[in-house]
Amino acid sequence: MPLTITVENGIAFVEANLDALDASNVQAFKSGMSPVIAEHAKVVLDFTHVRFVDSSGLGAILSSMRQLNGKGGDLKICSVSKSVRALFELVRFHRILDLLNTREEAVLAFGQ
Amino acid sequence: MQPTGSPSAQPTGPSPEAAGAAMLRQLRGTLGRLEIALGSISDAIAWTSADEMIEWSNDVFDRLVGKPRIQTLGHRISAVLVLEANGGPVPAQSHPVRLALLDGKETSGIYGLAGTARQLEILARPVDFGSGEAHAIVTIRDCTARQELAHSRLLSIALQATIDAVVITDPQGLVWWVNDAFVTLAGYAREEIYGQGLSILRSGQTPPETYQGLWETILAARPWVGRLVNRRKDGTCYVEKQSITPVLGADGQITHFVAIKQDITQQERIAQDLRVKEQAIASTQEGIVIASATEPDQPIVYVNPAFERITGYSADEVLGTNCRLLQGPETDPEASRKLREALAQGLPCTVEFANHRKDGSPFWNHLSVAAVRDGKGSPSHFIGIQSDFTERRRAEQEIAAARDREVQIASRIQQDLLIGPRLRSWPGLSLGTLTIPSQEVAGDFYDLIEQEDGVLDVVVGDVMGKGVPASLLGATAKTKILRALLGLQRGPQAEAPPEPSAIVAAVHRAMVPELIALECAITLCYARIDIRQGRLRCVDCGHTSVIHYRRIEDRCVQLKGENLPLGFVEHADYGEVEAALGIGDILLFYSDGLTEARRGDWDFFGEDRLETAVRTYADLPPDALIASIRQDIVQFSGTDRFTDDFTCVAVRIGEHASASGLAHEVFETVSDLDALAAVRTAVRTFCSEIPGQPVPAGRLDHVEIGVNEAVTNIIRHAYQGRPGQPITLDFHATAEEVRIVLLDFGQPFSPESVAQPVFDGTRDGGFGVYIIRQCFDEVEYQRDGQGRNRLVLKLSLPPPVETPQPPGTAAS
Repeated sequence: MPLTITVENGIAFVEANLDALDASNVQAFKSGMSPVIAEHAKVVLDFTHVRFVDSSGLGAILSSMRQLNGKGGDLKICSVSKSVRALFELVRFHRILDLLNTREEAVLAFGQ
Repeated sequence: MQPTGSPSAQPTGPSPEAAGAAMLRQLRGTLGRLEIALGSISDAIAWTSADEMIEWSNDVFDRLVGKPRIQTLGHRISAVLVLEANGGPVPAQSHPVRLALLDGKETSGIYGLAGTARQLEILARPVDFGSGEAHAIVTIRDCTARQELAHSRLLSIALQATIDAVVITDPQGLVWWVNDAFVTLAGYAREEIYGQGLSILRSGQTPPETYQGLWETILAARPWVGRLVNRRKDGTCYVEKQSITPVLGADGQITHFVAIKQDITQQERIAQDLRVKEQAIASTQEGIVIASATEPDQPIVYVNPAFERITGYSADEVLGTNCRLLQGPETDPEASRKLREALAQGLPCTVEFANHRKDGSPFWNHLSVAAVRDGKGSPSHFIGIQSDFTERRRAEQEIAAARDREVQIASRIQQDLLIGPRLRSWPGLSLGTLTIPSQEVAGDFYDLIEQEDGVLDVVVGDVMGKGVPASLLGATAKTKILRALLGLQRGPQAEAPPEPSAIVAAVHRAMVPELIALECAITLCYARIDIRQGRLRCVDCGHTSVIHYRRIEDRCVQLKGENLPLGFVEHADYGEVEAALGIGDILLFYSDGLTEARRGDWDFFGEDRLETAVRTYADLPPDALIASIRQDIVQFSGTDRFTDDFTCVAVRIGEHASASGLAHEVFETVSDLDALAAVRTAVRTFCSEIPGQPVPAGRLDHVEIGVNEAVTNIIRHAYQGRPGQPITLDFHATAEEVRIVLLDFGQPFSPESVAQPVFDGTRDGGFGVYIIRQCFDEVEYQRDGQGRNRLVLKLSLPPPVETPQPPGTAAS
């Protein structure tokens, strides 16, 4: 699974090198995320490259978020493309998850 | 006596005293002579008084009892003549003298004389000497010798009668006597063997040390028992068990040898046979198990080593248990039932089923069971012979898998080489195609050749024969058709497409040498649909007819030519048949796999049924029409596995320069999550390339996600994850709307089963249907009459007066 993980100041950045997150690769995404969730509390998903997310991708993001919330951490997503944002808004995802424009904004969001 | 005339002879007259004395003398003389006479006879004689006291006995009696007369006279006879009978002393009250006196009559019998081996014949008789007092005279004859003789006669009869051969030899081993059994056994007559040594019986097969041991033993006066191989007079050999007993004389010297021989040839042969059979059973690779048929629950009474090796159980572990301990979770209950029933009826039975070893691992057991019957014919045991064919089965499965792979490869070849392009629409036409390869590779092929605007050629063909050669010939035919087209187009008539008859003739010329060489032929239908002229031209070479549904008349016509199949004759001219086409007409090209689908042996689906079906489904789109026909055929034949290739092309004639829409596209895919990306690309491509009216980018995102969710649902729910199942997306754009129809053959969808989505992040799923509804202006689901799910997604487009935004720019 092409997830590039970097850690800065206790925040794990997960850059998803995917064109799409859909039913065909959602399992791989989940297994790629699980060690990150196990080791870190603050996680930022960088969706710069992701052009498309479907409902199963949505489910995987939600599941990651719930796990992090469960251990007192949180998940934020940055650099969401327009088309992905369209889906997120469709299911009112932006109400429960912070969608930030850049990594820096995400770091700041954690600081609050 | 003196003469009477002589005076000297005259009795002088003896004195009475002298006369008495002379008489006494004479009497004594007589008595003496009597005594001598009684004493000289061989019998012992005595008499007793009435109270059994011995009053007189002769010398023989005295010698017999071994006592002087002084000790016998006046003694009770039962104390002097002490007798034995039946191995015990004869008591006084049973003494023959007592019995004679008591009964007053003669008593006789044979008695043993106590303390000796002598046998006495005793006769006691009461007598009256004139005194009025009873006496008993007892005469005793020693019959020992006679008794012994009787005895030995008896023994000799017994020896004679015994089954075993008996030989008596002298100390030198020379035959002195043999019984009949010996004569029978050895084949020598008595006169041939008497006086001979037994060495004439030697076969040479008995080791010399056996004889050495034999002689050493018997010469030491000890009995010998052993086994010899001897030879009969006729040369045949036999095995005997022999015992030799030395007989010793009074002086302790050997007087005779008695040999008793038993022929054990047969016995040894049986034993040997049994040993061989036992070894055979023990050394065979087949597992053998014997169970009792008469004891409760039919316990195992024997297993051979192969059984132990195959099952992992030792004999000790299974003896007494029932064979079913080998059965387990992998065992087919049907096979065990068959076995049980056969055994209950005592019938032989062979099953192949999975059994389990002691360690639980399964193995494939080929088991043959038969009943072993007792003398009355009822089963006493069951014998099971089993072999482990796990390896063979694995090999068979591998072969089957290899065969499947081969068929798959072949059908890929077929799909790729023989089946035409997935063209779904052509200006003025809509098309449906369906090909179902049979289990075997066959030679059906079709092709759609886009000639020019409004002209489409449809080619369907069938190579006679099956297998890879047929499919390769089919592929060759397709290539030759294209080549013929190219070749003819380069000719003088390059402006217009070549005539169908010219194309077929060119293909025939190109292929006829190899078809004749291969003794093969191809049926072909080359049809040209020209909707500008509303005309169908068709070169039929022995193929199935073309069914032409004429909308205006609402009936079907079969178009059939008279040409021979390609490869029948070397030179042939090809004629065309023609038909006028009207809007809404349907043309059905098909292979004989459709019409020759059978119900039972002789009832074919046939052209009439096919015509009826075309007419019935004439209002459906071509894809749906074919699906419905297929459904009918499946229903008719009762199977969805076709023995022949099933190839079908349906064409619906529309209007030329169609006003039916701005764009129409059919995209076919399969139920595979990896195909989702291609689906999305198709959606984006269609929507952004609608002539003059592309879908705006913002809405395009929604169309993309909505279709993506719908296809995901079909894969996951309708097909329940089964890969490779067909999904058709029919895109249709008009000035007013974009309509996307999704068709699949999966499980029906029930809208009630869909949970309402939860938006607080507590649940991962349940968004799909919600998203679909959000993305489109209209969503319609129905299960159509052909067992398909039909999902119609509609997007209303903004009025054409609005200037569409170029793709890629953001819509806020």
